[in-house]
Amino acid sequence: MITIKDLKANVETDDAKDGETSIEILKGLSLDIPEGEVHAIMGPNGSGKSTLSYVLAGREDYEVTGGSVKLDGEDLLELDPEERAAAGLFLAFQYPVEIPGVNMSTFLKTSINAIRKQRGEDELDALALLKLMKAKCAELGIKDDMMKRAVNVGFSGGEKKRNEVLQMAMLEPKFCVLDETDSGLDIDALKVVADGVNALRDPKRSFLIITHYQRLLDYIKPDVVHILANGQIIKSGGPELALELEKKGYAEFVGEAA
Amino acid sequence: MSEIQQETIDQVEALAGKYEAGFVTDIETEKAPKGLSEDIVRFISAKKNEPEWMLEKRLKAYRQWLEMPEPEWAKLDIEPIDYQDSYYYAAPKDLADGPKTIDDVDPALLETYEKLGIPLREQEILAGVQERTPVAVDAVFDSVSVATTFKEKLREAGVIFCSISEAIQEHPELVKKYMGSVVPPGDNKHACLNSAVFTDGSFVYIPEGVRCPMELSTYFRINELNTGQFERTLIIADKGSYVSYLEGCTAPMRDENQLHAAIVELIALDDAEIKYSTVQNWYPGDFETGKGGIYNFVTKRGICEGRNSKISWTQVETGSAITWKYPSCILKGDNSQGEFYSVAITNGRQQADTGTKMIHIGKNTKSRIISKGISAGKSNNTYRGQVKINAGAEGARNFTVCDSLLIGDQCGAHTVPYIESKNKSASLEHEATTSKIGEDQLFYCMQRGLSEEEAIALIVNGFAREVMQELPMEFAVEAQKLVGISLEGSVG
Amino acid sequence: MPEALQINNLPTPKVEEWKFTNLPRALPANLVLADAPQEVVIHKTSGQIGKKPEEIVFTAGDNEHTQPHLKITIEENAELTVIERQSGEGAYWKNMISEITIGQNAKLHHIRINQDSDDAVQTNLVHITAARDAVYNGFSLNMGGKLTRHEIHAEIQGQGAEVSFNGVNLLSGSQHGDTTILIEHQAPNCVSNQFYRTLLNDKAHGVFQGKVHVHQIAQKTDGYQLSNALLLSPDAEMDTKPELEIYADDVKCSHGATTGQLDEEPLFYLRQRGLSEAQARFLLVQAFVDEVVDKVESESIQEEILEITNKWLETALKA
Repeated sequence: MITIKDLKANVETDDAKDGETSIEILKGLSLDIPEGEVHAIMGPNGSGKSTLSYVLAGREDYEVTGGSVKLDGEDLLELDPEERAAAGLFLAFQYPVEIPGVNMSTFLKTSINAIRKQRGEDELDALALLKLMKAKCAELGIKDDMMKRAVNVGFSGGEKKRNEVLQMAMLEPKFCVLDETDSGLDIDALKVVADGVNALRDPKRSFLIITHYQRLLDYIKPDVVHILANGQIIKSGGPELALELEKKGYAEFVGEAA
Repeated sequence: MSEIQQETIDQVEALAGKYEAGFVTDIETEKAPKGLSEDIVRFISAKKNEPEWMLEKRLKAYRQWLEMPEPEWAKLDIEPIDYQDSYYYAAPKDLADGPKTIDDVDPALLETYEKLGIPLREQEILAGVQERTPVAVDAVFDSVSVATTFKEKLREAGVIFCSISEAIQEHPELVKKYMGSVVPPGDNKHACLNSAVFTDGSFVYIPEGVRCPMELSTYFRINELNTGQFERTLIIADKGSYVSYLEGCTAPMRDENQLHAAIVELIALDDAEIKYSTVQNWYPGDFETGKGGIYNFVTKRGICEGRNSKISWTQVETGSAITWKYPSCILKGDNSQGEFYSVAITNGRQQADTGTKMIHIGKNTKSRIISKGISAGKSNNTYRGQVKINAGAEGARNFTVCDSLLIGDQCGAHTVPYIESKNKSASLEHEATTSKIGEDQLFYCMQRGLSEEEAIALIVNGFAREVMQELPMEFAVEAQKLVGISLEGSVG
Repeated sequence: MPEALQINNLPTPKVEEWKFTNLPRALPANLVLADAPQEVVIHKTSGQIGKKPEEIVFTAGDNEHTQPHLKITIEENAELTVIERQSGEGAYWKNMISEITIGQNAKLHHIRINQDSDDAVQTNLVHITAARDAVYNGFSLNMGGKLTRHEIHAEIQGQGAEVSFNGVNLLSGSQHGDTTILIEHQAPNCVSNQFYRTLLNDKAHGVFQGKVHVHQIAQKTDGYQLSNALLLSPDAEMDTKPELEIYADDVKCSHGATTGQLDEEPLFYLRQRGLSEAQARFLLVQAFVDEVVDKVESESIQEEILEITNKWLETALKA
């Protein structure tokens, strides 16, 4: 499904002093996630976790300097962010962006139809969308009145993350990246979000779960766990690797690799 | 409350007197005749043994000054100024012929500076304050520079630090090239007056690639009755150099208004950085009646001439009857940066109209303005600032915050920003708030045993913290104390 | 009592309040001066609630100099919605004054839709007085005219009054639109709001000057002011001067002003959800405008306004 080979990327920095305008964050990262599998990436602060998610989704402040990313054989790095979305990539943001003045229903309608159009499918009419929305909201235990509010504006931490899962459910992506979806959530909210993600697990859909802590993996069972440090995957293994990591801490693994 | 340190509390509690710098030094003085004329301009130039070109510049400025109107746009209520009722040159007798070695300086003068906390004998500085890094000082007393310390040590690093009078004699090529290049005489009436009659001030040149080995500072003191001080400061930071410069000012308590019209020009070439800090504590006039005090009309401007250069202004303005001052940055070089950090406190009958101008010319230029105004008593305090983005300033950024605090209902706090953008890719953000001192904060402090005045001093220091922390260490402590003193009598 | 501008004594940019607007230069050359002002009077007596909005249209023709004088009086406990439309043909100067008096506990919704002709000049000096507990809710859509100056002086005279000035400026070509607001808080416990958004295309020049003046007696004042501008073209220009003048200590006053482009973050978020860049931009700019239109109370009027603004956006963002 998704194949990342020797990916290298820089991030632009604000401080233009000393002639340095960018720093290398990803230093040759390789990863292969077959169809239907759930992989988790764990890593300490500054290891490049969020950079990876932004690079996959095509954010402009990140410059890819080497390597390749293929989704079902298609070169993602050649595509604009919206083309990647249409190709089936969905990023659940660590900090979902607030968009004042744009209400949820307008946003979802525009988004779904934009993707359908890019895929050469017919646009959904207002009624079909409304039905779909209601059904998905009910499945995920989200109140309909959220649809009348502006995108993420005034949402609690839990609501924001649930909203990301709702969008994931509606856009039906092939490959989902969850960027620290557990950050800022209490146990109850975490369960709701995890249940939502589990409901979306499908033999045709892959997931990449980026997280700091093992906790989320209690609820979303990964097939493979990778440890990311200093811009590279330094170790991969089964779910037990996450437990081991929880016990020993990052320092030991990072030390091993160095 | 956690941000307020015990140290600050102790300092505030230790305060006693009101305007501590209000004493007069009894010293024999040579003065020019009272009033202003071409003859006075010639007198000053002759006293300084100036070359002909300098005199010509002065006379040209004087003639222009006669024609110029007073700037009237500031929110200040100023009695018409009688320019003939002032002395334009006053110097301690033994220094009238220019500065000599420190041993020739009248002990009364040295004592004056010591009383103000500015020792001028290098060995004393080095012996007395081991824990602090020494600061090089140019001490200006009325119209002349009394002494400049650590000149030799600085010279070893290639740094020129001397009085402007000396620079005109010793480094005419630099003075000719840069003086008036940032603030031309016709900029405004006060700057024009300065260009005609400036008497002394400091000159700094930091050569290419040099990081100035110590903080430089100038201490301005007005002593004589009815005397104006017109100083001129010129700082040039050559490519890749760095300098931090501090300025302090005080004057005795007098019933008459005294004029202080200064010009400061800063030039930063490629990759150079200048940090300029001011603690202004001129006599503010009588607390109740507003009688006396300094008219502080200052034109301060820096140009970021080179790429990646940076100029940062920090000011703590507590004194003066009237403050009219807008330290500004012209951001000409690409990627250059300008900063303005200001705390302005007015109390009694003081009036302040102060702020900055950030003129963005180069690409990706950045500016940041943090202004904290505190009004108490029957004073008026205005922030006035301009941010201008020229059409060519692609990617320019500005961020401005100005907060005002009112103490009592007899004072005024005003905010007047001008935000002008001609570039689509530029982004400007301006925020301002006005509020009163928090009653819950006051109550909390008083419950912990502070008097109301102490509590106010503490809270105001917290309010101004973002600016205070930009000051070099030695000045920060001084400035915190000053905040307390200048707010005395604001309640009750 | 406001006075209309006099042709023989026009302000120039040398006057601080006219710093960014050059009126004399914009006036048509062949003006035929008006003999007398045309007066329009709207009056609601005590307790009267206007069920339907009152609509007034001000028009003018080529080379005309008109001096409309609009007087709105809402007596105590009365309520009304007024829709003021501005239109015309050719080059003219509409030199208007509006005098609005809102009585105790009375309410006025005032919607102004300016669609003057491309060559028109409109100066509009509005004077508002609000008595105790009065409410003024104003909305102004400015998109017409070569040069407009909408100048509002509001005097809040009674406790508990609340005044709001909301506006959208959509300017293109070489249009010049100036909104200048002065709010005088002369009584305690009052609230004032200013919320303006400006979109500038081509060589358009936008000006927003807003001042909140809190008198010493006006304790417990809440005064808010926000101006956001988006420059859509490299030749557009925006000048903002949000001012606070405060003489009372127990107040909460703030202002914010931004000028620039759309934020990158929401743009990226929308594109991640599949929207094209153009689509995402359109949606965000539309939201930028909608948030102000949302302050209009009547939904039907909101819809009418959105129809007009969306049409403008479609043209402006097409390129």
